[in-house]
Amino acid sequence: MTTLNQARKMKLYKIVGFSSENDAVLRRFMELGFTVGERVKIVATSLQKKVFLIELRGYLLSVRAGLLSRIEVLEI
Amino acid sequence: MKEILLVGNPNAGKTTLFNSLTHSNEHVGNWHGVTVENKEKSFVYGGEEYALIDTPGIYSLCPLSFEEEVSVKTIFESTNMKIINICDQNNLQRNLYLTLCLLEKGCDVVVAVNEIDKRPIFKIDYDKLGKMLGVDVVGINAEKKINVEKLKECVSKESARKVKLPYIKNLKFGGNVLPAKKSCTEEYMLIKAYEKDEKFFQDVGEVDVEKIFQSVPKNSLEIISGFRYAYIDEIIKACTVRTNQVYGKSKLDKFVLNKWLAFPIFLLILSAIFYLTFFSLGAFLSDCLGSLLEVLTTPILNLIENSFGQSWIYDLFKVAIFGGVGTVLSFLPQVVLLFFFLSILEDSGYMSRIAFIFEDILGKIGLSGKSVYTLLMGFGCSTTAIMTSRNMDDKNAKIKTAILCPYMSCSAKIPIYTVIGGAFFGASNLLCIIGLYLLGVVVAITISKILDVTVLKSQKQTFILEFPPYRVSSLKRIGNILWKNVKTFLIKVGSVMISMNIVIWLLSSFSFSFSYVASEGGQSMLESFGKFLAPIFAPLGFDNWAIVASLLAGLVAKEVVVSSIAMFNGIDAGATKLISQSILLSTSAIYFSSKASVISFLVFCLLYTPCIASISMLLQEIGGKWTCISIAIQLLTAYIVAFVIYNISFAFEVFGFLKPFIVLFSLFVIALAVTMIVKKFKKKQLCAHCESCNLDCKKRK
Repeated sequence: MTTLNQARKMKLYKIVGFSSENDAVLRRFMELGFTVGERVKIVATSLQKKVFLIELRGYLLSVRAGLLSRIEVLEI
Repeated sequence: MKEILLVGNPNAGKTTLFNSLTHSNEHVGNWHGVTVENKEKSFVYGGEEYALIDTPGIYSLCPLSFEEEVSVKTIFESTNMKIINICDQNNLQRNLYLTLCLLEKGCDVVVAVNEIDKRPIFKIDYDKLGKMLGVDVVGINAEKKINVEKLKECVSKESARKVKLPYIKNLKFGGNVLPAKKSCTEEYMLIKAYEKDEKFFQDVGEVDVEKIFQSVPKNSLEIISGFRYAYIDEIIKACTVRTNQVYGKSKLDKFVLNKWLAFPIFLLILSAIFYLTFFSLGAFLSDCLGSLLEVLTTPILNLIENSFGQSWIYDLFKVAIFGGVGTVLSFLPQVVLLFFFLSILEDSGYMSRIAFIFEDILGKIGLSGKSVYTLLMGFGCSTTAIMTSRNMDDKNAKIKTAILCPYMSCSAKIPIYTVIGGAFFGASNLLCIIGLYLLGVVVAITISKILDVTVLKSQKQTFILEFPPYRVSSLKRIGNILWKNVKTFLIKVGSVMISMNIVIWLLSSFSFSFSYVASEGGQSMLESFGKFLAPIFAPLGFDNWAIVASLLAGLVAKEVVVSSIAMFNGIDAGATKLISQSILLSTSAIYFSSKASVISFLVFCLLYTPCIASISMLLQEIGGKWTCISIAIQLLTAYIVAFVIYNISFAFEVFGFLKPFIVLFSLFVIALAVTMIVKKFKKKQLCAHCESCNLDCKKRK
C-alpha cells in the first residue's frame, strides 16, 4: 500500500485508509478533510522534499512529509 | 452585559470582524495564527451592551496547539454564551466542520460567512444553508462592514431552536450510556468518545478513559469525521454553486516556491525592505523630520535660555528632552516604514510560503516553519513576536522560539545602527546593517541547535499549515497600520523615553552628594557606576564609562542607547548627523577610537538582553526559570560574539587584509574537515533507512 509521503507529484490519488489510531495528528488530518474516498494531489515539494504542498477539497495545505505516512492512498 | 464569543478557523477573518463590530484596531494578517490570546471589547446594539470575545483560530473542539487550547477552554467554560462562528466563504467545507462541532456541543450559534473576495469559489444560498444547519446564517464582509448590522440583529435575538444533526443517531456505544457531565449531554459524551479526546475526558473527571474508548469502534475517528464531511458534502451540494478554483492556488507560486528561485526571491524582498527603510525613502523622511524638529525646538530653547539663563533647567531641556528624545523621534519614519512593510508581507499571503520554504532548514534545528512568523515579527518588535510563539504545538519548540526572538534585530535598534554605524561606514552602512541582521539570524540558529541537542530537544513538529491566497492590503488597512505604529511610537517616546532620559540626566548631572556636576565639578553618580563596570567591557574595545551607562539605559528601551549618547555628547534635538560626528571626536564623552570597537559595540547592542517589555513577555510565556536562562544566554552570547568580532576586526585593521584572512580561512577549513569526519563517523551508526524514517524503531540510534 502506498502512503501519501511516497506519492508522486501532480498525480491524483484517492485516500483508502489510515495506518494509525487514536493519534492527535491523525485527528487533525481528518478535521482538515482527509477522509476515506477523498482525492488528493501533491502540487509542490520543498527543496529537500521534507514538506509537501497538497491539494485537498479545493484548498492547499502544506504538511511535513513524515506525517503523511499515516495516510494510505491509491493512484487513480 | 451579554457575552458573545467569536469563533472560527484560523485566517477566516475573526479579528477583522471583531474590529468592525467594536470599532477597534487589533492586529490582523493573512496567515494562520495571528491571534494567540482572547481579546475582549464591548459594543452597543439596540440599547444593550454586548461584550465580544475574539478567540484564536481552531479547526475543531480538540486542540493541538497552545493557542487552540485557549479557544476550546473558553468555549467549554462559557455554556450559555452566544457564539458567532465566522466561516471563510472560499473554504466553506472545512469551515463548516467546526460549525458542526459547535452544534454537536449544543452551542447557540450564529454563522457569519465572510465574503472576502469579489469572485468567490462558492456562491451560497444562505436561507437554504440556515435551514439545513438549523441556525441563522448571514453573509457578511467583515472588512467592508457589509451586513454587520444584520449580524448584530441575529446575535441579539433569543434562539429557541434546537439543532438535531442527522448523523448523530448512527453513532453506537458498546458499554453503558455515558452519563452527562458538566455542560455536556450524554450524546455529546458519545461524540467525544468517538473522537477519542483523552484530554476532554480527563477534564470532566472520567477515570477509566481507556474503557470508554474500547466501547466505540476501533476506527471511530474515521467514522465520526466521515459522517461530518458526508453531511457537509450534502449541504454544499444543496446550498452552493462552486467554481473549479482551488483556494490559495496561484501561478506566482511557480516562482515563489521554485527550489532555485525561492531563497533568492526571499532575500531580494528583504533587501528591498531594508534599503527602503534605512536608506532612500526612510533616510529622506528621517532627515526631513529631524530638520523640522530643529526648527520647532530652537525658539523654545531660546525662550528658556532667556528666562533661566544657562542653568540646569536649560540643560535639562536642551540635553535630556530635546536632545535625547528629539533624536529618537526623528527615526519615527524608519520605524513606521519597517512595520508597514512587515504588515504588507503579512497581508500578502507570502508568510505561509516563507514557512513552507524554511521548514526544511528550521526542522534541522528543532524548530518548525511556523517559527518563521515569530522570528520575522521579531524584526518589528520582540515583545509581540515572543507572544506569537504560542503557535507552536510543542512546549520545547515554544520556549526555544521565544528565547530566539530577541536575537532578531528589532526596530528599536534602527537608531543605533544608523547613527553609530553611519558615522564610521558612511554610504556602505547598508552592508553593515544587513550584516548585523544576518548575524542575529546566524546566532539564533546556532543557539537553537545547541538548545536542541542539549536541554530543549523538540518532539517532531506537526507542521500542518494552510496556504492562503495572495492578497493586496487595502488603503484603509495601510492607514490603520501607519496610524497604530505612529501612535505606539509617540506614546513610547512621550512616556518611557522622556522619563528615562530625565533619570539618566539626573544621574549624570548630580554627584552622590547631590551637587550639580556641570557647575561645581566632581564625578556624577552615573560616572562612578559606569567607571566601576567599564573594565568588564575593555576586552570588547569600549571601556568608556558613558558607553557602558548608555548600554545600561538601553535595558529599558533600546532607543534610549542613542538618546543617552546624544545627551552625554550634548547634542540638540533631531541632529542625528551631529551625534555621528561627535562620536568621532576624542573630546566627546562618548567616543569610538576605531572601526573595530564600533562593530563590537553594534554587535553587543544587537545581541544583549532585550528591553524590559520583552523580558516581562518572556516571563509570561516561558516562566521565570527560562527567562533567567534566556537573559544569561543573551549576555554571554553578546559578550563572546562581540569579543571575537572585535579581535578579528582589530586584526584586519592592524595587519591589513591578507594575513588575518589566511588565518581565518585555515581555521574554517580545519573546522569543516573535523565536522565532516564526525558526520561520517555518525552516519555509519545509522541504517540506510534512518535518514528519511520518522518512526522511533529500535534500529534508530
